[in-house]
This record gives sequence, structure tokens and C-alpha cells, in this order.
Amino acid sequence: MNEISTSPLYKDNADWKDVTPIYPGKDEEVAVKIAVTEDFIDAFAYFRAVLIKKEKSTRVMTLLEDCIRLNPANYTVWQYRRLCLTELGCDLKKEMRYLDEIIEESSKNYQVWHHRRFIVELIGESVAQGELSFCEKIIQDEEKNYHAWQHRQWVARTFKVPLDDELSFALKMLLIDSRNNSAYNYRYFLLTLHDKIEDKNMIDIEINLAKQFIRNIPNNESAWNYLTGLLINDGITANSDVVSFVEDLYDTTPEDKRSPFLLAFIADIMLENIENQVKADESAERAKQLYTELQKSDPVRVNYYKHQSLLAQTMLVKSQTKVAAK
Amino acid sequence: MTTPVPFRSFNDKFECNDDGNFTFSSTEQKRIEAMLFENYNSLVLEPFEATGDEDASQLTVLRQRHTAYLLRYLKNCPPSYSTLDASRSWMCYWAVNALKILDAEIPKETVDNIITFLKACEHPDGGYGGGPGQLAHLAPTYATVMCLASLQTEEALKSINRETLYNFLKKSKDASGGFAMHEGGEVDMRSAYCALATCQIVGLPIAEISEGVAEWIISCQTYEGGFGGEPHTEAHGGYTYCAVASLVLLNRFRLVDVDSLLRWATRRQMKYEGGFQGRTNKLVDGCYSFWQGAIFPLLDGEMEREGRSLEKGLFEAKMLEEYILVGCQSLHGGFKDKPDKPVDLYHTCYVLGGLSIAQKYSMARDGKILGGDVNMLCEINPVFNITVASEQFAKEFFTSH
Repeated sequence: MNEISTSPLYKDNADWKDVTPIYPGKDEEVAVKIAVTEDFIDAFAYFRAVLIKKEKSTRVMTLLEDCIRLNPANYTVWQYRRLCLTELGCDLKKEMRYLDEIIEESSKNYQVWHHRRFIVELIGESVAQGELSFCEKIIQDEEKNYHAWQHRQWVARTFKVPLDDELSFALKMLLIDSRNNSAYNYRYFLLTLHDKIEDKNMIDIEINLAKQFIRNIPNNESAWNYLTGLLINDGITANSDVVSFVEDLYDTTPEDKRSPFLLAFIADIMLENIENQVKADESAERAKQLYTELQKSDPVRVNYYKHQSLLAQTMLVKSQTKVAAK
Repeated sequence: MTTPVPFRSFNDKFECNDDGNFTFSSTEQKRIEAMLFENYNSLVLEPFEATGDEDASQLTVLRQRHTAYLLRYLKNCPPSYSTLDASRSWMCYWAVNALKILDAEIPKETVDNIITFLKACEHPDGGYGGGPGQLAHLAPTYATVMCLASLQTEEALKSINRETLYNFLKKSKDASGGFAMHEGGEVDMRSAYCALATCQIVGLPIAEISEGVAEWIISCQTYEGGFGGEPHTEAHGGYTYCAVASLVLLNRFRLVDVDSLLRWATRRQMKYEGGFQGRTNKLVDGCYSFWQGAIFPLLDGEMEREGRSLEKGLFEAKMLEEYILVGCQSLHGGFKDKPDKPVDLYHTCYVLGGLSIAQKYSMARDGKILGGDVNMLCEINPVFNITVASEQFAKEFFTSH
């Protein structure tokens, strides 16, 4: 007698009787065969059949959820899901809630975040705030999650989220861990997005922030890199305040306690001086002396510092030729 | 004690200095350093103290064990690999490239099986999926083509349908200048590299798919000097490798701000561990031995072509060898991210690639490599990440076919 099956497998499910599953062929199992479970084999055999049939239906949506649970990194399943969602006119808000759960479980997977972008794009601006909260939740858990920061950038850009709110968020993350490089990068992104890279007042605020973080933790490379980035356009030497800040830090720190980032930053100032023909000889001399110190205090980069030292010399010779030519 | 063990990594002078201000990042960093010191102590210091013989260090590349591990996984993988079911062509590449770097023999039957399997991953409209019946995707397409090149047989290379492959590459082109991973897929730095490297290795004209891509790539160089996955995202080792290798392939490397790239790349090598991190203030990971390490030979090549003086290999190759052999090798075969992580095919491939690069620099510098000549690996081509012999075989094949 035909009883109602208690098996969770599709092959035992009367509702799927009309579909012939496609199991892996012999050629498909001769290499890197993964010992997947029975329900894995079952669900994906039906998925392959559906893909060929091009069936888009409610039962297919459930099948796709099973496949995603078994392997959230299967991009073919996600792509097919996007086709189904669009064609069936599914409730996209419901899809977002579903995605919340999936992403919380596999937050380092490309497919889930790509799918999220697609859905958010379809729904539009009304979910912007929700997206920011969701990113924050993921970032609170994993402070340097690349995908979550990337998604947040996309949301901020796409929906023109107010600058101040986003600056506050990045600052909050920096106060939790001032070594979180993703948060600095996010701040830099915000400055670019809102065209503030050449806004002197804004840049001064950021420079002061970087200086504070450096004062607290002179060995924090992220803060130094941020400071360097803020000065890319005009050069370090155009900002006398920054120059005196680092010189002061140099003078007030005992020789054996100076961070390599401090020494390298001053060396960069010296290279700029040579380039601008400001006390070129003296600057080249000091740059070389700093690179010699760095070879001792940061020996893993000894080859790089030697290379930089040579660069100082080459730049000096070039600048002297320029002077002579005048 | 007469002479100290001549190691440069794991020196307490270069432990993390948190400036008396700890955060999650610095606490994690210190935990990893302590873990590595334990490995260093048991693999290097203790044997040395017992015998006074520096060769007693157990730092031999365990070729037989790695070979056995890789050949086993080329046949069967455990249930924990289920989430790689859409990356099976990658698994073939990781294992085969690792075997080739080890200069290990791959049985004829295994070679045939891999070719058969990869053919089953080929999409009727061109390109390859991560497994049979899956959509064509640029990443597994790159992996498949590099794997077939690495097998170094005519049969392997003949199995590639170049005509449909080219259609797929052209179809993947995005309006931004970049490439979409698959139909409706994401556009990022990986897809650009995978498309360009694939195109070049099979000898198809790269110019037809190149429009705007170099400009798109350069828009991903960040204020730190490395490259992000898309414009404005954080500088990252994997994306930076993809960006630099792509620009080399396109012959457009001169667009790069070299000074900041060099500063960023050299700073990714850890002063205590000797290995590389992927991003600023993150932890060391064996896979970046390749992603970051390979940037250096690419830079050397470009600087040489431009006639700019650059001492070869601006990172510390010896310290990278030390990190890998002390921190990443499993005694049961395979390599890993760091000591408390499990081995996997991905890390085995990229750690070996990094070790091969480091060895080449060490040899050039002082004529010896860590663990002695028995550890010598095959040389890799840093643009494609396959062995030099594999790249040459493919080049000859596609020139004459």
C-alpha cells in the first residue's frame, strides 16, 4: 500500500514523482570525489533536473533552500534562485530575513553577499537603514569581515547615506579596536565618496584623529598609514603641523623606543625635501641615517630599507643635476 | 652553548609591542606568537640543545607524506569538503600544482581521471564550472585551465575547447571594464585576473577582452599602496596579487604607484613570525606566502624591464622559509595557515608556491636554502602560479596548435 513517506528525501517524496533526478555520472566521480551525505546527493540530483527543466515554482524554492543549507557556496543554486525570485514575484522582504540567517552562519562566502546586493537593489532605498544595522551586527561579531565592510561601502554609496552617521560608525569601531584597519579604510572611503579629500577643514579633523591614535599607540601601523593617505595630495611637508608633530614625537621618545613607522615617516619627509630641493644634501644624509637605524630596529625589511637608502642617493644626484642645469 | 641556532624569525626582540595598550588585535597577535614559539622550540631549539648539531632540526619538506596526502585527495575527499562541491575543479588545480612544485610523479591513471573529470565540468557554452552540471564561472575556469597545463600532456591541453572558452571570456566582460564571475555574478579583482590569465595561457588574443580593464584595476589601488577587491575597499594580499599579475599580463604595470605598493608589500611580512599577513594589523597566514610573496618576482621583472634599479626580492626570503617549515607543515602531510589550523588543499598549494619563491631568492642570495638541498622545490611562474615547466609546455603546445 502506498503510505505517506516519512523519509525527508526528495526521491521518496510523492510531490516530486514527476521529476527524474540526475545523479552524478561515472566520469564525474573519478577524481576529487567528496563523501557527501545521502541528503546532499538527493537534493542536488533534483536540483540538476530542475535546472534542465527550467522549472520555477514554490516547490523549487524549497529545494533551493535545502541545497543552500547543504552548500551555501554553490553559485549555480544562488543564480537560479535569483531567476526564480524575479519570475515568481516572491516577497523580497522575506528573502532578506532568510538571507540574514544564512549570512550569519556563513559570513565569509562571496555568493551570499552578492545575492544580498541583488535583492537590496530590487527593493531600493527603504532597506538602507536595515542594511547598515545588519552590517554593523556582522562587524560587531567579526570586526574585520571584508565582505561586511565592502557591503557597507556599497550601501553608503548606492543610497547616499549621510556622511556624519557613517563617520560615527567608523569611529565607534576604532574606539573598540584602534588597530582595526578596515575601519580606517572605511573612513578614507567616506572622504573620497563625499569629495572631502581636498577639503582642508575635514582633512585637518582626520589628521588630528590619526595623531591621537598614534600618540596612544605609536606602533599602530594602521594609524600611520591613514595619516600618510590623508597627505597624499599635497605631500607631508606642505603640512608643517604634521612635520612638527612627528619631529616632536621623535625627540621625546628614547632612541630604542621609537617605532619603525615613525622613523619611516620622517624618512618620507626627507625624500620629499630632496624632491622639492629643500636642504637636499642634509635631507639625503638624514634619510640614509634613518634607513640605517631601521635596518637594525626592523631587520625583516632590511632589503627594502637598503633600497630606500639608495633611492635617497639617486634622488639627491638628480636634484643636483637639476640645480646645475638652472 | 657554542653557536646559537642561526634563525632570524621567532626572536623575542621582535615580539608584538602593544605600547601598553591592548586591543583584540594585539591580544590575538600575542597568542599567535606564543603558539609559534612553541613549535620553534620543539622543532628547532630542543633538538639543537640535545645534539648541538644545527642540522638536527626537523625541517625537511616531507615530500612522501605530502605526495600521499595530495594523491589521496585527488581521488576521495572527506565530508568536510562538502562546501567545496562547487570548487572541485579548484581542488584538482590545488593538488596538481602542489604535486608539480614537489616534483612528484602523478600516476597515468590519475592524470587520465583528472582530464575526464574536468571535461565533465566544461559548460556546453564555454568555460568551466566548479563541478559537473554547474554554470561556467571564471574562477574554476582559471583553475581548470591551469590544472590541465600543469598535467603537461597533449591530451590534457587538447581537451580544452578554446573556441567556446573564448566566447565565455568575451561574454563575461562588464561595462565597468572588469569581468563578471559568471552570468549575473559579481565583478571583482579575482575575475579580472582569472579571465586574463586564462586567455593568455591558452594563447588567445588578450587585446580583445582588455578594454578598460587596466584602468578599472588601477582604480582599486588604495591609499595604503595595496589593492582592494573593488574600488575603495581595503588593500588585501589576494587582490593585490591579482591586480599586479593582471597589469603585468596587460603590459600596463607602469600605471601603478610603485613606491606605495612596495612599502605596503614589504610591511606585510611579520617581524616575529617571518610569514606574511593579508592586510595591515591582521594575523599571519601561510597562504599569503604566495599571494604576497609572488608580488616580489613580478616587481623584479617589471623594474628590470623599465631599467629601474631594484635589488631583487625586497622581502626576507629566509624568514619566510622559517615560518613555513616551522609553522605550516603537518607531519601527516599537507600544509596549513598556522599551527592550530587543519591542513587543506588550498593552503598546501599556496604555501608550497610561496616556499618555492622564497627558495629561489635564498639560493640567489647565499647559495643555500633552509633544510638543505633535499628541500629544493620546482620553480614556479609567478604570473600564472604553475611551474615554469608547465607554463613552457602550454606555451609550446598552443604555439604549434
